[in-house]
Amino acid sequence: MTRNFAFATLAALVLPGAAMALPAVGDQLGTDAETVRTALADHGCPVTGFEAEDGMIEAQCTDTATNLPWEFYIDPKTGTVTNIKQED
Amino acid sequence: MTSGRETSGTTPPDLWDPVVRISHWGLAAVVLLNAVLTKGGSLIHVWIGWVGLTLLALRLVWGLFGPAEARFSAFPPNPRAAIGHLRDLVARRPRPYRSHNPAGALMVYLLWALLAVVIGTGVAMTGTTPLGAVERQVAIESADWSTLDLGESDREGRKALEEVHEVAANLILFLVFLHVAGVLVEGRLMRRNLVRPMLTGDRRDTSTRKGRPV
Repeated sequence: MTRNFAFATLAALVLPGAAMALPAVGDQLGTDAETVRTALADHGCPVTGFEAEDGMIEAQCTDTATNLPWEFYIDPKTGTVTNIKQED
Repeated sequence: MTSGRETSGTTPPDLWDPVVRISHWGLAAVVLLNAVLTKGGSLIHVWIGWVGLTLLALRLVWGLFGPAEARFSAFPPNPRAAIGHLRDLVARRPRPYRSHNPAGALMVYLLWALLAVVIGTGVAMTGTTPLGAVERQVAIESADWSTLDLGESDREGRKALEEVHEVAANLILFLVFLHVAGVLVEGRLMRRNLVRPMLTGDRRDTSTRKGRPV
């Protein structure tokens, strides 16, 4: 009983986190604002804004799990994440 | 080249004219906002930069057509005179100048030159009109990014512009620190409030100040 409870608690803590993991470098998010907005929201990081920087699109979002702001740099031609930074 | 020094005993104005004051505090606000509060490349950063360009252009035009103490001829850049002024200050024998003193004048020209570099590189990176930045932002929000020209074809050039932009901006902050320190030190040594003429002026002792070495 105790073991089942421990597994259930662990699963409750870990699985949602795994499902909401942020995208990684190399992942495809899309080549337009709407697609990227949806993709990042699905990862638990609703977009707060887009900017162009150094020929890349910078998508700014806030991780709902940690409340930390992130910047995803996306290649506009391929929609691939090229860099990820915690927002300064 | 003259140093702008007056032998007739005139002093800087007790109240700088409105264009000098507005451009001075406006540019100070532009530098502060864009260096500290706004994010580089953001729409608000770009628009504040355009306000800075307008204020700088206004002040430069005023340097040609404004009142005597606002004109470039009243405070020509003269490094030797600037060193002489600093020596006079250390010796507590500051002399009167009808406009900015030679050290202040050098600071003004350096700040304007660096502001021109920062604004010029900013314009080169974001487009030649303030609306260009808005149009690009709208396109990012609504269009397929693969069809946009975001400058990725000349990434090295953009990187170089960004470097120059940031170095010049940091130099401005350093010079602003020196400027504020200089105003405080000189004001203390001369026992005169140097900030007030740039804010509201002080007409209370105008008659007594005329002819008095400052």
